Amino acid sequence: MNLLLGLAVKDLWRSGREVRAHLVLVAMAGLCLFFSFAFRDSIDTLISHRAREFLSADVALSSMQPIPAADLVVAEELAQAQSVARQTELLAMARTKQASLLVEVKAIDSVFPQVGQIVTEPLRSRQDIDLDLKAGHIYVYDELLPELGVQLGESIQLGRLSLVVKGIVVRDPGISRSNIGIAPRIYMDQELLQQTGLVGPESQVTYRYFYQTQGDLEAITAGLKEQFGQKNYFVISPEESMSGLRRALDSFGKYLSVLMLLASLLGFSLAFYLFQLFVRKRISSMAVMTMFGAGIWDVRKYLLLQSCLLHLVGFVLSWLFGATLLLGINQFVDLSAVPGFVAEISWLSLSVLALLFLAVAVLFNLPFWYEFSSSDVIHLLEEDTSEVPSRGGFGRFLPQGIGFLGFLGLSSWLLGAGTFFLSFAASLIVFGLMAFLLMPLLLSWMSHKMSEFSWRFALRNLGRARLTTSLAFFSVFIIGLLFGVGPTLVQSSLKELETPDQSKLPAYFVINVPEESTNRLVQFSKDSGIALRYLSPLILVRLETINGEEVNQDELRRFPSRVTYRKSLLESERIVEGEPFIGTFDGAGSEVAPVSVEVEYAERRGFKLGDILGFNIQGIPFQARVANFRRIEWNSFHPNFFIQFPDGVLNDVPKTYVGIVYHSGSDEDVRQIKFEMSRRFPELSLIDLGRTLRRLADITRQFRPVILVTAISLVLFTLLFLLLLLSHSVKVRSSEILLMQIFGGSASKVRSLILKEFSVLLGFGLGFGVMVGLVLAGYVLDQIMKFQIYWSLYESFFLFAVSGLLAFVLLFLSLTRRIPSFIKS
Amino acid sequence: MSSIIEISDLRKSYPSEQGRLEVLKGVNLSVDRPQSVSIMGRSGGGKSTLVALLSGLDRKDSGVVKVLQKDLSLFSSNQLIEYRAKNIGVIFQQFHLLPHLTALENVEMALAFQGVDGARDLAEKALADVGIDQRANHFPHQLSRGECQRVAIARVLVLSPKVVIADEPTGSLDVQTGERIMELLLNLVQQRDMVLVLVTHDPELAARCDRQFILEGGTLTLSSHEV
Repeated sequence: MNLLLGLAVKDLWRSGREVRAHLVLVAMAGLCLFFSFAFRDSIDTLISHRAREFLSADVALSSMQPIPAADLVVAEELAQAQSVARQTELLAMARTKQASLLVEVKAIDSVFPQVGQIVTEPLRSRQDIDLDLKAGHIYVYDELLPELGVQLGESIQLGRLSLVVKGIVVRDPGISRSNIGIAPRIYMDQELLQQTGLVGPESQVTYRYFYQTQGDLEAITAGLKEQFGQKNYFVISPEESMSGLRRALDSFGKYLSVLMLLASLLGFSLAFYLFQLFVRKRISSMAVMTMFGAGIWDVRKYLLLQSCLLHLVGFVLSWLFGATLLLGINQFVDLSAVPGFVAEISWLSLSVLALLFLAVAVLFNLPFWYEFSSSDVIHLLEEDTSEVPSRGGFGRFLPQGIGFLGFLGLSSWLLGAGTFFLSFAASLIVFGLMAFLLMPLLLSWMSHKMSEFSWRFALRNLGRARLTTSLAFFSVFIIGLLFGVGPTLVQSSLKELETPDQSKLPAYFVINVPEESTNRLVQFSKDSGIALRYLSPLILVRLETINGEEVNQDELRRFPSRVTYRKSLLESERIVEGEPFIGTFDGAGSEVAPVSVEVEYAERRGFKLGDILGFNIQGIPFQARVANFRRIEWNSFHPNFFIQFPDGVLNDVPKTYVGIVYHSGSDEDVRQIKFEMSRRFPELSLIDLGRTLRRLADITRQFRPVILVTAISLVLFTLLFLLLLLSHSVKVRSSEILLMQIFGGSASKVRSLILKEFSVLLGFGLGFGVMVGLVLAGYVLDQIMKFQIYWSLYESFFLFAVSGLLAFVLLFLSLTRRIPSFIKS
Repeated sequence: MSSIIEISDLRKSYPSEQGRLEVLKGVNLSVDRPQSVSIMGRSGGGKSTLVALLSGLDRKDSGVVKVLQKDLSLFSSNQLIEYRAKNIGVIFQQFHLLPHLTALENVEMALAFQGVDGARDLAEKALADVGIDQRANHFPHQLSRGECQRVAIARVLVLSPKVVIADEPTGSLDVQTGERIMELLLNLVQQRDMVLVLVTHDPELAARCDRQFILEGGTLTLSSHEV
């Protein structure tokens, strides 16, 4: 083994540029994986370190109904609480003389927060803040001031109370009902909340109790869940409090992982290609080794050693480079959008990454184990032994395919990228195979159609080096795909959010309408000339059983479902499976009530037609049978519900109402009527849809540079891949190019021939890629997001221009540098 | 006296578009003492096939090929590799030096695979024997073709095989260099009591061997020049 190792190291060390190019590619591919792992680790650390601060305590108990004192005593004991903080939270309308705005009210006591702090401007100590709150002052998020037209020291109306804005909250613990910031936050005193008149039996208020403890947190959380599992209380651990952020970061992480895996796949593929050329050149050397006593297995070990050595060095390089970049990110990049986020990677991930590199070294090089056999030695006796013919046949690619699939499976599993990436990659592989198989036919057909020799020559050359051509085509195809998908998705989403269909867009949602106020509200709408539509009852229920078995989906257990009942479907709804409701349900014959479920929600939860769902409606158990599935047009902005009953089932249950208001007047009219409505009906809340859409558009816009940067990075990586691939194939053909020189081909003619090959590849690859990308984007927009496809010429042209120019410059430089050197040699 | 090389009724054919092409049609050869044997023939006459079968690089259709009384066809692949490394040395027209190893390392490699102690010293001596010790640390691309062939000869002879097969060893050298290489090879083989099987199409080179054969029409016949 020492002998083989020594020979392998010497071979690699003295092989020069070929090995260096391989190492660079492996290191770059590894860097992509490194970043995917680092991002995942950074999220984990953020969650584990920041979770307590995010929750503001060690554990919390939450309920949509007031929690009886007896239960609070039990909870305090179970939590072994050293201190208890209380918070009540609700959405309400804040008003000034000129304007009204939906706000998130947090009524707190002096103990809140037990972990973390509320930082204000002007800076005040917690004791001072408490004194201010008790004196009827409030602290608010800064965006509230311009929207309501108030300044510090002025007062705003919240329900029946007028409260003075004392300061701005700069930083605070983060738990909320996650409304993507559509409602700015207000801190007020716990005791004053009742006086606002906003808290009633049907109000959607969340009551929270926070506990600080020194006990075993896991055991305490489990104990509290066991104790209160059957009641409408939710026990929230620090990790669970960050589940929303975690989901968002995980989704982003998956997006990054998909791109990074794609890039690393390209990098490893080209490294594999270079290694294949490297091995081919050495088959005669290996045959010589067998002449002097090396067995077939020695040769295989030799190859494996070389592959492993290359990948290990590549791993170390990517580690060093990656670690330096992580330091740079922490030092120079503004990460304030996600407070507490530190870019890092764990030793465990590094070890896994090292193993992954070794796995790649083995998996990607399996084909070479079969490439060499003892009979190859005979080729040493032939006069021209510069390249031993490789074994043909499709079977040769089988281990290669296994290698690719193994890598994809392993890495996407490790990164948790899930089935999405695998199915995406599988489709790409299928497409690649199709291209590989169909390309010779297509090129041959085209070359027959071409009358000009230079084009025929270019096409024949492409058809000859099938593997190289397929890889190059594939990489250009991916560039095209990215052009097609990324900018189109972002641009179409922005277009939809920034300029929604005004005929469909309501002015605002009305929520929290008490049952007794509905008639007055309808009358007010008529009097004001606005259209209040689809006023729908909203009832909070908990789904407890499915076909008699207890629900084990955490989200369903922790959060109540909002349901409604209706006499008929809205225009935005249609039944896709099952029977529609007929008439009013009267419960005759003790029949189980039917229920309609939104089809995608049902798919996520695994509901089937005929399933019996067991609900708890304000303490009363209630059963319903899944009678049909509905599809909803969500961009209709109607008050749609996942779960919907027929009229007559829940009519007697306490409820609030939601509806939408259409208004065709000017912005000022809308503002005036909204203001008047919130003044007359202080208990209801109005969600400004325009503001929400603008907020969503802002968030989407913030993602746009990230998407563009990652897309451009991947494009550059792909171009590098393409450049190396093509320049290598040109190098391999150096003797042919010399031959062309002998037969009178000038450098410019040779260059023109090669550029024709590239242009065919670029044209086909980009064309196909953009086409498939557009179809994919169209599918996602139409079927999943329900948006109109919008082709942004500006962004696409920009990307085309930048990368096209880069491609051309790089290729041109490469060719002009290489071809003369061949001629000279 | 027992034979060092014994070939009898050796046949070998290859598939071709016109059916099987019979290259060797019953070759017989017996070498029972250290000496040099030349085999001449036209291109495509089966010389390389004979070398391949004699060195165990290819499998026969029928007949017998024995080297040092061992029938090569009875060996497994791995046994054959081991047996060949110890007993049969092959010198190629194209030298086949490993490009990433120096001259010294190329020779040392052959010894190292055999697990020989003091491989470096032996390799240095072998290079000195072929008169190229001054260039020991040069890589193949830094050596002339004649020097490369000397290294290849040193790499084979350092293992002291009983049989050395040289397949057109001067085929890619100029006349003068080829002459010197042949001189060297014949002297070394003679000094070390080895059998040299020289495959060539150069009658002058062939004439310098103890016995000369012509491979023609798939059979081996004694040359009229044989002494």
